[in-house]
Amino acid sequence: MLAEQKNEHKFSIFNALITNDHREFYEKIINELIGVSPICNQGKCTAAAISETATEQEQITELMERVETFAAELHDGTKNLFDQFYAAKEDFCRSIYCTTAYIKINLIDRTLLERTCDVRWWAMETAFVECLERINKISRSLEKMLHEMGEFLDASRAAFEVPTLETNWTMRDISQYVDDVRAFGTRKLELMFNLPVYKQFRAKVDSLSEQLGKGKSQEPCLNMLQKVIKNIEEVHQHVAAACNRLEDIGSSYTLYRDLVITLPDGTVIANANPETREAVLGRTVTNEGWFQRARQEGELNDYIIEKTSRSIVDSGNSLVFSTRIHSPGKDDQSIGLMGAFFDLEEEAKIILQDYMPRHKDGDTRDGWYSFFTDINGRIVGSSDPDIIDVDQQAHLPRGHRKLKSGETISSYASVEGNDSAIFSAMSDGYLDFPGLGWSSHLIVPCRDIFASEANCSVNGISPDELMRSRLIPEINKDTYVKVQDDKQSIKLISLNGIVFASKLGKRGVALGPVFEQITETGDFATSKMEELLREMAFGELRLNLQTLETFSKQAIDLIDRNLFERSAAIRWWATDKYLWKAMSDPSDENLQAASRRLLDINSSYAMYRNLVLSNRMGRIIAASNPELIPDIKDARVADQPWFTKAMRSKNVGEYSVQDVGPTDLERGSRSSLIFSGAVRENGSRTGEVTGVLGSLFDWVTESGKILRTCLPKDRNGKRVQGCIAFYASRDFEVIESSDSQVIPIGSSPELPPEHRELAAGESASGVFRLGDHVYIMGSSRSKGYREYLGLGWSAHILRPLF
Amino acid sequence: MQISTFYIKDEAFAVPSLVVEEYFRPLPITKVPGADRRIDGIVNIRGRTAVVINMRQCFDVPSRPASEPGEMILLETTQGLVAEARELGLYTFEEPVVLSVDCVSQIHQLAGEEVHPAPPHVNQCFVDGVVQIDEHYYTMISIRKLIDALLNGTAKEIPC
Repeated sequence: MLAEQKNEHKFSIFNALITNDHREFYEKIINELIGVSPICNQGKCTAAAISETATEQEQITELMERVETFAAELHDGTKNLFDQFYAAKEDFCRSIYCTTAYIKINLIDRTLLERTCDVRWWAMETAFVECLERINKISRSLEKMLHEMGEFLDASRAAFEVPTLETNWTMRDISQYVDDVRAFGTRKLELMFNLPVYKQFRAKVDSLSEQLGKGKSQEPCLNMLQKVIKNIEEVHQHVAAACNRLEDIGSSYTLYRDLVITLPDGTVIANANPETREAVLGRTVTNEGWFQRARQEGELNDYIIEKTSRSIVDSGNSLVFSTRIHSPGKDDQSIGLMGAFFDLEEEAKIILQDYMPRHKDGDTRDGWYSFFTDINGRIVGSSDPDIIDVDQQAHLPRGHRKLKSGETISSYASVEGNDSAIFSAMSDGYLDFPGLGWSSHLIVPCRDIFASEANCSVNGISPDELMRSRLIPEINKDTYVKVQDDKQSIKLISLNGIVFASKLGKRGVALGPVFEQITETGDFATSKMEELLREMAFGELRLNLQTLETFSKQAIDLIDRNLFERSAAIRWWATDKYLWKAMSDPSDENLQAASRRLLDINSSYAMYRNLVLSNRMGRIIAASNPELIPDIKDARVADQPWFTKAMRSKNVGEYSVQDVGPTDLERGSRSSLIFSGAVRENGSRTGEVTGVLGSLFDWVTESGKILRTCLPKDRNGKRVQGCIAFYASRDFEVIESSDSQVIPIGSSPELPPEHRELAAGESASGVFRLGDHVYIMGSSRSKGYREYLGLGWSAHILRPLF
Repeated sequence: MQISTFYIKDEAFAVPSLVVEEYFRPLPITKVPGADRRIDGIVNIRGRTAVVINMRQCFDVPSRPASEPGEMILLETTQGLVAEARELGLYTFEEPVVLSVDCVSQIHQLAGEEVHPAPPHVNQCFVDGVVQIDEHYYTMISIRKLIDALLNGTAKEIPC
């Protein structure tokens, strides 16, 4: 393993990082330069032989010595140049790949922040509170009821022991029926939460009741049985309602594997996934880490996050967000818990496999790995679980295991037999989410970092233009000037020699080949160095282009993920009880309640300008911020896409979105992005659409914020001057810009074809000329995120060359 | 005969190699007050003082950008000319003279190529003729005309 060795690091051709191409390159230059010494000696000997005067000989000898000094300088220059070359690449790659590692962990943090909001918000849902209150109460009394039922049954059995005239039944016969029902007396949980068991019980009770009905004075016992059944069935109703509600959430927020509600003792009473419901309901999670923590720490924190892979609820790799549920006004006593199983496995896969170079067939290039570790260094997600095992301890150099919040580090190590560089970044949380102390690691094979760029060229820019551009560090520019200078110097030296020789007439002929050789050597060495410098410049350009691609991808990913959240939220809110109640009975009281509800939601989600509820005629009947709408009384939205699309939707879980543009619902033609979901009769899944809920996303503020985070920064973390980021719509019209002077909103800049014709999720980069300015630009097309398919937008990041 | 070629802007020129004493990188120039616009000033070359003739100005080409330093050609003095040069009737000045050019190029051996008269559109002032080597044409500078016009006279602009 090679440690970080930047400072004590001087160029050595024996360094394992040096590519074979460069070794050959270096060897050729050095060989040529070594050849200079014998040539000069030959020149001095020839001078001694042909000179007629001491001055002549001195002049030639001096020329030769100048050549020798010069060759020695070139030798050092070459080493310095290689030094700069590798140091520059190392530096640049460190910056770009550490950023990539950080982007990945930051994407997770941003998602997790949203998830902490989700679970806390859902836990306040009245349907769950009512359900838990009732079930807790019934559960406690059911114990006693079942006990009493046993006593009644025993009494009935005794009564039947004496055969009467009215019946032919023997003691044994009734006893069997009583035993059948009595056996369920200890299976309270199953009766409450396991429908098949309850069905058996119900059948046995029915048979017994029939028999008891044939006897005398059995009403108390029959009443008891009915009471038990009534209570159990009430539980079933509540369970069904809670499950229904959880399913609504689940179908809006598909990034959860499951959602559960438990009693304070850990009994699962409802879940979102109908396929596992039978196996999960009634079971207990009391031994699971997330539950124990939520029960204990829940008093201190309003939510806890725990990774699990062996829950009875779900055997996949999940991150459980849980919070305690309280009755309104009784925050000190929890009536149950909610657990949301975030699909970490899928999420980690999406993020980790992204931002990696791929072969044409879509496979990630060999030797590239990306993974997350938790605070204990255990792998929680991997881009290639066959090689980097999830749940195992990560094999990382020590420095990478003790990062501080937000810190990044890089070093060399051998990974799976490849000489690789490891880039790590630790989470620093996002906004008020402190993060989980996780780190993101990116492994890149050295051969890819130091790959030869000898034949690299980029359309639209010449090597000289590139060399003068702002991209090239001053030190490299200086070297470039120096090499060109050297090239000219050595040429002048040999021209002087040739002129000198020519004046010696016939005697000078012997010197001719010496100077020719010197010219050739000088030309060769300097042009090789120029080549290397150009390679360096193109390498720098390529990495810059790659960086811009990464940033443009980040910009489009962040907006896609943000809008996914918006699409999930609108689907869920559209099912809200207050809204469909106001639609079915638009009394003042109901409308006010709906408005209050919208305001409640809006105050928790500041990224919305307004939430509006329209009736099926397209009139706004409630809004969270009615004062923002210019003419609310006459506002009609019946012809607006967000409204018409939602009216046509078939069932819950569908949402619509209206692309960025001005709307009547805002003053001063401020741009808005509007999401919508249908409000259905009685909140049912496929019921008739009675109204439409629309959410006006604060596009101007939010998209501007995201664009600014994606502007390139220099090595000291300062924003690079003159960079511009913008989003373009499907039709390449600018919908948001970080610099509306140069790229005005609403304009359609002439983008090069390779930046226009991008498939979803693809990126491109290249030179972009805009007026008198030359930029390099990275572009990425939206690929959407989960069910948010994106609107065909693209993100573009520009960096000026001059 | 050998000729040394050089460039002024994009055009190629040449002088006989025998009148060249040395090529060198630009040296700091001391301006001479009241001098002809085609004279940049004087330089010190290893203790000798030489007059610098600005070849761009001589051919009415706009000045070089500051980022391109150009190169200098020191001409032999009349005294320093080798016998062969005298035999060929080559002419130089008594004092050291430097031609300031954009870029020194190459040395060519003329093998029977002739110096043709310059085509009529060429500014004839300081020109002896044109040489063709392979596909390239080189305008031969007339050192005599140059020196007569700028140094032997009273440094006035002499119309051609």
